[in-house]
Amino acid sequence: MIGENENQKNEPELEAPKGLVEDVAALYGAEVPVPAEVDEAIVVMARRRLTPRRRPRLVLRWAFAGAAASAAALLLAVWILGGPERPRRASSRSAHVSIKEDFDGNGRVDILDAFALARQVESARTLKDKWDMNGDGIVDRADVDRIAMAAVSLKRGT
Amino acid sequence: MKILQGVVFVCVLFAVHVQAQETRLDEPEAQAPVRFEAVDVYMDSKDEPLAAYQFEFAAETGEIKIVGIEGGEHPAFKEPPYYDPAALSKDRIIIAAFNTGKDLPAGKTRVARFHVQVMGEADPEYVVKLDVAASVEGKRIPATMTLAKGEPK
Repeated sequence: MIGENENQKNEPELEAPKGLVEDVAALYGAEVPVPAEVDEAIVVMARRRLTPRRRPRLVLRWAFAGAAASAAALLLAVWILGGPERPRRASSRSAHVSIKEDFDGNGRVDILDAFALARQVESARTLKDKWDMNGDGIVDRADVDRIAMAAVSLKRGT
Repeated sequence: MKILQGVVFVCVLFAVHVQAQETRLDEPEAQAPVRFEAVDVYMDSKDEPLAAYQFEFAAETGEIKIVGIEGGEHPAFKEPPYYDPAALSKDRIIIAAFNTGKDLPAGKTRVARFHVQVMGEADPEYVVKLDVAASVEGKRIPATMTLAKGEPK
């Protein structure tokens, strides 16, 4: 390696003849005018070729984001709506009842309402239409059962 | 764009984390020992014949599911009482019954028996709350309630 470098140093520098240098400079150094239309045409062609390459990437990126957002929303919805039921403790019964099952009119539905209607039905006294709890046109044991089921409903008791 | 991706990623991570926690919470329950027991409910109306009652039964501690309900020992309340079917498999229920006949129990009588499934080692603590007890005329009467553990069938 050292010997090669020494040989290169010893070689005389090559120089082209002055006339050749001037001719080559005149050939390639001259400015060639490019019309503006050609420039524009090149730019348009370049845009045509380059733009389609960028668009699919953009679409893919948005598609991925949309899919991920949908998946996240779905997971959250499942978690919120379909989550395991939390244990609930007993709470005092609400005295808020508006309904016709409140046979004795004391503001709450309990077994005494059913019991009172049952006594009316069994005693064969005059039965009022408003005691037809299930709307079947007759006042009978089915209406008593309806009141009793309303009294024990957990929905009303929570 | 990157912010949106970040938000979505965090949402997914959160959902997965919560799901994993719930799965972990469920694991001990699935492995916990399960046993069954019966709980008798007594009502004492003293000298007054009992024609109707309504009460609430629940487990204040422990984890249970109510799996069955029987009526009382007296013929007037032998039939299963009224209850909300949705209460089965839960730890709370409202029970009610009445009888318009003349043959009614007085004094202390068993009005219902609950069959419960107990999960875990802990002994559940049951509570009962009387809503109403009534005489044959439908008038409220004072009554007391007690609980006793019985043998499951």
